[in-house]
Amino acid sequence: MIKDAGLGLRRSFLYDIYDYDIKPNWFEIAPENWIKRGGPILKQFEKIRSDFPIACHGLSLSIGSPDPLDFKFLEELKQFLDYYQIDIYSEHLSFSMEGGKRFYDLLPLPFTKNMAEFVSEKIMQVQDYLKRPLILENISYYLTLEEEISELEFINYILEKTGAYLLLDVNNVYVNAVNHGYDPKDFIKNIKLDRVKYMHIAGHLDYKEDLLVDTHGEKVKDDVWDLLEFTLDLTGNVPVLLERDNNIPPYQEILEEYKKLESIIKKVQEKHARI
Amino acid sequence: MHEFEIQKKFAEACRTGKLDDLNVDKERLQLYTEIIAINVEDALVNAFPILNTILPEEVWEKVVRDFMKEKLTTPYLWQLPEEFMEYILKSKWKNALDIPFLEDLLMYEWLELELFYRNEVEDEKVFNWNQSFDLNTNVEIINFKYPVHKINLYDYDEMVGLKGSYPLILYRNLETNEIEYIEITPFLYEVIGLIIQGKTPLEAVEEIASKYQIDYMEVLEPLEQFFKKLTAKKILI
Ligand SMILES: [Fe+2]
Repeated sequence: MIKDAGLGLRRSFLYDIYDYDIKPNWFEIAPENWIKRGGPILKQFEKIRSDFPIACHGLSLSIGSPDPLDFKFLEELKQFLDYYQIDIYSEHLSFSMEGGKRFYDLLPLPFTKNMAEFVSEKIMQVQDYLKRPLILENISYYLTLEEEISELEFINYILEKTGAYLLLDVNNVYVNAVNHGYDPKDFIKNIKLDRVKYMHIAGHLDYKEDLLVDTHGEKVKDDVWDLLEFTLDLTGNVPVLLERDNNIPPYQEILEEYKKLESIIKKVQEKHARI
Repeated sequence: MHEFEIQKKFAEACRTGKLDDLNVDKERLQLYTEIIAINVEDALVNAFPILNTILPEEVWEKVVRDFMKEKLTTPYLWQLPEEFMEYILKSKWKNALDIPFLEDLLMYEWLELELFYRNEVEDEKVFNWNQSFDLNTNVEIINFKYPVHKINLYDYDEMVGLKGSYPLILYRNLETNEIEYIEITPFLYEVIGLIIQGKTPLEAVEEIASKYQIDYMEVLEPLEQFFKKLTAKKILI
């Protein structure tokens, strides 16, 4: 079971986590980085797996592709999840493949009713196949391809229709709010918070005044910490994961941020215990 | 569904870097095309640092861009360099790049990376002339035409001039986890080839010795030392 604060596991500190007294409650990995791999790195992963809860956060499902689902990939994924007994599998509400060719990046979907319907069908197929609920993340995006309905309506419709859960990325909400000119708190108040399985928090880059880029390569900004606290206040006790995927500092520095995350979670928990 | 058409145009712009077909903010579209190209390029530069330095930058970028337009099919980013290698060797770029040692170099750079992630069989076998052996799974035996494994010793023209036969055992050292190689003779390359096919070391040495017109009895002793080294390192299992 994942609970409270967790940390995105990275190669660069794979061998550091046992050297410090503070240990994250749980880790998140991208299964694509580990499927069909072996050698010393996999041995270390297996040790970590035996000592910590692990959540899988996928990259290659491409649930919103015009393409059919890649069942060969799904089979390999299911084998991996089953073998390491990982129940939590999250992905992104986006597409990262078209015509069988991939991007290794998350592209936004046209926000239309047809698209919501189409994606929902595919989500249900995946849930059926994996025998696990899907947990879908709101991605950060820089372009709106089409907006027949709002992003919020799009996400809520899909969650309702499929029974999938939400991985609410608070930083992505913040980034999108700036990039597309809406109020992040309004967005959070109106998204289906009862479907949130866990949350993400990460850093972004101030690219231009009206354009933030979700790099996962910076420290978490103060405004985003505030938004997390605001969100936790509404959701109550939901696990939160700190993501740092690029420009990764020494593990000790990551632990400092992790401690900050823990303290915010604790603060909200204590407040809720009093009321 | 008209949404698919939008997605296709968006995807095409991301692959090609050409922005004109889509009625959206060009600056933000360009941000996507750049992020995607950087992701792919990082993975490839990291896997093929030497090829990257040999090729002029504009050529490298053309190859990568073509690759992006035509391939990128694996769901695993770690596998992308292998797809890139296969793409180059099957496309017009194989000849267009005009590097005589291209194939060897691609293979060497890819294996240097890939062998690190292979599981190994952990049990050690004691050497015996009359038993069958196999290569461990963390090992490759390969016969290069150019000494690409020593590319840092030679400049481009020297490398081209060294065309010949360079058989190697390439493996992950199980104690240090470093990727290492052992240079072997063509004779040993053929012997090991037969061993992998199921012959005992003795049968293999007899067969290849007669091909090379060597008295096999005379080579058994030094070869035994060599094979014992290979079993001790769990290269032969
Ligand atoms: Fe995220």
